Amino acid sequence: MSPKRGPRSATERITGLLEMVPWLMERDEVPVAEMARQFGISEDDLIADIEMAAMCGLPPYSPWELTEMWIEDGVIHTGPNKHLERRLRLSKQEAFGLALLARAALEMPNFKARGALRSALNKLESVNSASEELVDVDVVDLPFLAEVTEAARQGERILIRYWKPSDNSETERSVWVRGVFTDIGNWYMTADDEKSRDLRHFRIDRIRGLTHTDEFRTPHSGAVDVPSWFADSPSGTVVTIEADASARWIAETYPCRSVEDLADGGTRIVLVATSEHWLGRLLLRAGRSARVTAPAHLVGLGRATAGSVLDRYRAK
Amino acid sequence: MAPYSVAAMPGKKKIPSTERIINLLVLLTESNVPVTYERIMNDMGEQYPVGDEARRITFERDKKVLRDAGVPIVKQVLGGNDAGKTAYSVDKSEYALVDFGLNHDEMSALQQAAAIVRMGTPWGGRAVLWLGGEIVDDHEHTAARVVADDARLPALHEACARRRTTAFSYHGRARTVHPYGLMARRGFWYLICHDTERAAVTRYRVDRIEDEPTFSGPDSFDRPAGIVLEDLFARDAKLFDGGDDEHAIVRVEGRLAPGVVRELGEEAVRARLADGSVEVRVPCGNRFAFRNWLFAMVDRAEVIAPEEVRAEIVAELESIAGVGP
Repeated sequence: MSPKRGPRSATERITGLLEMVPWLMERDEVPVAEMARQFGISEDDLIADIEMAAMCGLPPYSPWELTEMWIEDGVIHTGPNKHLERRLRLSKQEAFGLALLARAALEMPNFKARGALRSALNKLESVNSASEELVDVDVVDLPFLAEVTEAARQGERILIRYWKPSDNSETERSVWVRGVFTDIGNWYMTADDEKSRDLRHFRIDRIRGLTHTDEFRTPHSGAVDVPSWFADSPSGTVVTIEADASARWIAETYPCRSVEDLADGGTRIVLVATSEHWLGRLLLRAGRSARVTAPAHLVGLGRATAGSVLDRYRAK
Repeated sequence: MAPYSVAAMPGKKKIPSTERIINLLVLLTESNVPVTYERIMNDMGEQYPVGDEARRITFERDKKVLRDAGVPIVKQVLGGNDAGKTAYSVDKSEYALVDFGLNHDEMSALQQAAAIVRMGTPWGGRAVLWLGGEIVDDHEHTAARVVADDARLPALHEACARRRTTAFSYHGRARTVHPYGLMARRGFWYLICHDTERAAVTRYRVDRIEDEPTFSGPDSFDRPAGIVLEDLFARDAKLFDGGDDEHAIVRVEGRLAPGVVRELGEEAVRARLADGSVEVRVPCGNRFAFRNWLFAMVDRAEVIAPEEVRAEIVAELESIAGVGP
């Protein structure tokens, strides 16, 4: 949540206060900066809201009838006179969010607080529709996932044998793992790669072997950075594809820089290809329904890829 | 900042609307009985504009803001001494002091879950704050991104929980379904449901739903006991729409073999060859899905049998490559 700019509507301010004040009342005192961070609001807006709420209460609005909150030395304090400690019912969005994060965490093979999370969910069964049983996510376990995660926690350098689909080869890599994450059904690790001397992402299902080195450094601190793929990739090739209506799934499946509907029902798609191998595979799956129109050196890639597969069949 | 009285502020004629609305909320929630409009104006009159019509309009606007914020304001007409008067209250079962009795470990587990699961929306984090928890930093060196930013997902989820019959347009046709659950697969969300017209369990991709779904009242259908969403989801795309009635044997190169065997299961393996490649038996009745799966492996997979399926694939490749047999 990032602080928003511009004036806030009355509904927005009221909604925010009804979320924030019960949370604050449970704590009695919280630094302004910390509370602003928790609720994704600017410190100025938070102070304005707290000062306003402190002037609210019951008729005749004498000091002992007002909600007791004040700010002193950058800390928000609450007193015994509370008027806004009730909570609104969990919204549909929050109930869904709770179910999703619980389900995803329980599916994570390396999530350690599984028992406590299940226990929490049992207690929360009465909370609207926050049942994780209604939600299913594609988080799966994989060989080497536990070892890679442990290497990230311990700060250990590991050696991996890594398969590269673009040229069907395996390479030995020496890496310091910063973190692991799952996205769109695949697991990745973010690691400092000694070969390229750069930060790289490796798909964990492409690791064919792993060796520990017993060399350690301070584990990476901070949250795992889950990157934006393809559409933002600075290193790929920008490709324009014209797709028939039957290949519209390309635009629906992959992040695109732009998608333009054409008069004949087709689509002009601009996306970033991370490799010719990846693009060739995409074109092969689309068959004759999709064509590269730019850049020029990739215009015949679909035909060439199909030709290379034909070679395999004709070799028999 | 020391608290001070609004009413005591010299020369203060008009207070901010937000402040007035909060005062209205406090008045309604602290009262044990419904509060009439007359009493509200008696107690808060200085905060409302002068003139009956302006007051009424402002009061209605304030109630709308509160309702939009989720405050369950109930309106009723009184009897007895106040017969005929309209009074307002807040449904305290919906706006309440809540204690779920979560212990430290349980709250910590929820906070960790919120830290490692990235949804692309603040919904999960807000739920944790609502429960009294905090947004904490991830110290686990692990994260799961399950993007859930389609605004229709929460209502569909609620429809599953409350068993609300759901209607929407999909591929240009009106569908009426009994929703069972939501599944995230490879970046897409699917609604698993019983389609009442097709009289079958099916799934619809949420981002392809063409309108805002509409919902019946709660408990409008019986959810079969023991439903496991994953079992209802045809995980293998090649099985869609009767794809299981025909099979092909496909040879897959050794470097891709582990992933393919993991996907299809060991029971699909027909042979393991000396070079590390495997031959697997795969449903191919749905040619589109089969072809998509096969061609994703480019030249590292090859249909071995039956001959007619192999010939079809070769003809397709020749067509794409622009060459004749």
